[in-house]
Amino acid sequence: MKMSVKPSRTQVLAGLMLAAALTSFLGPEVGGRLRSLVHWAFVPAGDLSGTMYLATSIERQTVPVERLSADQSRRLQAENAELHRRINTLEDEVCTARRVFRNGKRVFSQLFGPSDDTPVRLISARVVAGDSLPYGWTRLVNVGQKLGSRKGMWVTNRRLVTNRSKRLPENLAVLSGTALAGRICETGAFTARLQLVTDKGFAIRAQVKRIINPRNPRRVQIGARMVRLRQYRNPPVEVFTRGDGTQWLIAGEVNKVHNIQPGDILQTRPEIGSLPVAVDIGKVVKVSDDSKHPGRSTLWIKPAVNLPALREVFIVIPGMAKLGGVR
Amino acid sequence: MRWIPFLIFAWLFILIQMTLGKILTFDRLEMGPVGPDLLALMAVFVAMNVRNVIDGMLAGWALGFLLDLTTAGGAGGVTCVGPMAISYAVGVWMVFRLRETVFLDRALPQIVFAGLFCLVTHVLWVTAQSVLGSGEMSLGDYGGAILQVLICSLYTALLMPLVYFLLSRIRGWLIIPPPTRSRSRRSRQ
Repeated sequence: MKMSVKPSRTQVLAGLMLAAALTSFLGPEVGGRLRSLVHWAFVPAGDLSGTMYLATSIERQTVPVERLSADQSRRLQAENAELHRRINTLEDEVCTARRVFRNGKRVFSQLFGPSDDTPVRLISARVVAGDSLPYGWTRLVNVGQKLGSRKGMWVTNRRLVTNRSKRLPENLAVLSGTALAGRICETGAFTARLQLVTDKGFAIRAQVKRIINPRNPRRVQIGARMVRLRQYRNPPVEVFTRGDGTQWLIAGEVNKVHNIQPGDILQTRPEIGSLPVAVDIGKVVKVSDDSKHPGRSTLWIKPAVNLPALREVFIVIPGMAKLGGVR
Repeated sequence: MRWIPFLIFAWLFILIQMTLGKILTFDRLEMGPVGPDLLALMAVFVAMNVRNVIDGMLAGWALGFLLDLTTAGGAGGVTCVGPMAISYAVGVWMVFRLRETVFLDRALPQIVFAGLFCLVTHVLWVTAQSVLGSGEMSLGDYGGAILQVLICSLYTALLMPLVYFLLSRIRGWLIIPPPTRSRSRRSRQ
C-alpha cells in the first residue's frame, strides 16, 4: 500500500497559522532574532549607491513671517553679520579653552593615573531602510555584529548648521555638535536595527541643562532654599524620558521647583557607562502641568536630530564593549 | 497562484515600501507617521482575483509575514513576529467572501475593500502588539494608534485603483487564470 505524505494546502495553512501564533507568543526577543536573519534580503538594495532609501523631511513653518521694508532688511542683515562675527569669536575662544583643558587633562592623566579620556569609539553607518509599517520609529543600518555593533549601543548623529538636503560644498564647516539619534535594538551579522529616540519603546534616564537667559532670570530650589539660577550654580536636573511614538520625547513627573522652561536642553547623563559624555538629545518646547500629580510637570522635548531625514549615523562603541555587554 | 513570481513581486513591493516608498510617508503629523501599506494593496488584489480561498490565504499569510519581518517598531514598543501574518490571512478570507457582491473592475469597490482590509488587519495587529509587545501601552496610546490606523487605511485605500490597474496588467504572472468556457473536444464531436 502506498501512503501519501504530501500535506494538503489546508494543512499547510493551518501549520503556518500555528507557527505565526507561536512566534507571536514567544515575544519580541524571538521576533528580533527572526528579523535579523532576513535583513540581508533587503540591505543590498536599500544600500544601492545610497540612493534607494529616500529620507525626506518637510518641516512646517510655525513662526509667522512678517514682510520687512528694505531698511529693516538691511538693518537685520547688518545685525546678523555682527552676531555671526561675535559667535565666531566666542566659538574660537571656547575651542581654545577646550584645547587647553584637554591638554591639561591628558598631562594630568599621564602623570597621575589611568586615562580619563572618553573611552568610546565611533563607527560610521548609513541608514538603508525604514520600517515597512509607519507605526514605529526604527531604521535599518548597514553595520552589524561583524563590525562591532551590539544591542543597547547608542547611536549619534552629527548635527549640521544647515539642514538643506543638497550636497554641501567641500571644506565648509557645518558641524555644530553631536546629538543622540537612538540606540541599537536588534543586530544581525551585517546589519542592525536602530530604535530612534521618538519610538514608543525608547526610554532613557537623562538630564536637563537649564539655559540661563539674563533677560529672563529664574529662581529655582537648590537644597532647601530658593536661589537665582546662575552659571556657576546650575546643577543638571535628572529626568526619565521616553519616546511617545509620534515626534516627541516626554519626561513626566518633573518637580516644578526645578523651574524647567522651554528652550532648556535635554542631554544624556555622563554617568551612563556606555556613553560617558553629555550628548544633546533635544530641546524642551513645552512644559505643562501634570494633572495627576500636583506640583509636577510634564516636558515635551523635540529631538535635536532631524529624524525623518536621518542618513549618516555613528554607533558609539564603549571602551568596555570588548567584555561582552553594554550597560 | 504562481508562487515564484508572486514571491518575487512581494519582495519588490516590500523593498519599495521600506525604501523608495518612504517618500509617501508623512512623518510630522501630530498623531504620528502616516503612510500607505503597499502590501495590503497586493493582498487585496490577490483576494479579488484568486480562484481558491486557501491559496489566497496562503498568499496573505506570506505577505503578512514579510511585513512582520520588516517592522520592529510599533504600538507596543519592539514588536513580535506573527500577528500580521495571521491578520492578513484573515483579511484575504474576508475580502474573498465579500467579492461576489460587487463588480471588481470598478474603482469604488476596490477602494472600499482596500480600506476595509487595511483597517481590519492593522487594528488586529496594533491590538496584538499592544498586548504582546515590549513597551507599556495606556488606553490613550491605544486610541491614538487606532486613529493612526484609520488615517493610514484611508490613505492606502485611495491608492488602490492605481495599484489594481498596474497589477491587472501582470495578472497572468501572479495568478493562474480561470478555465475558459471554450467547447471541449468531446462536446464538438
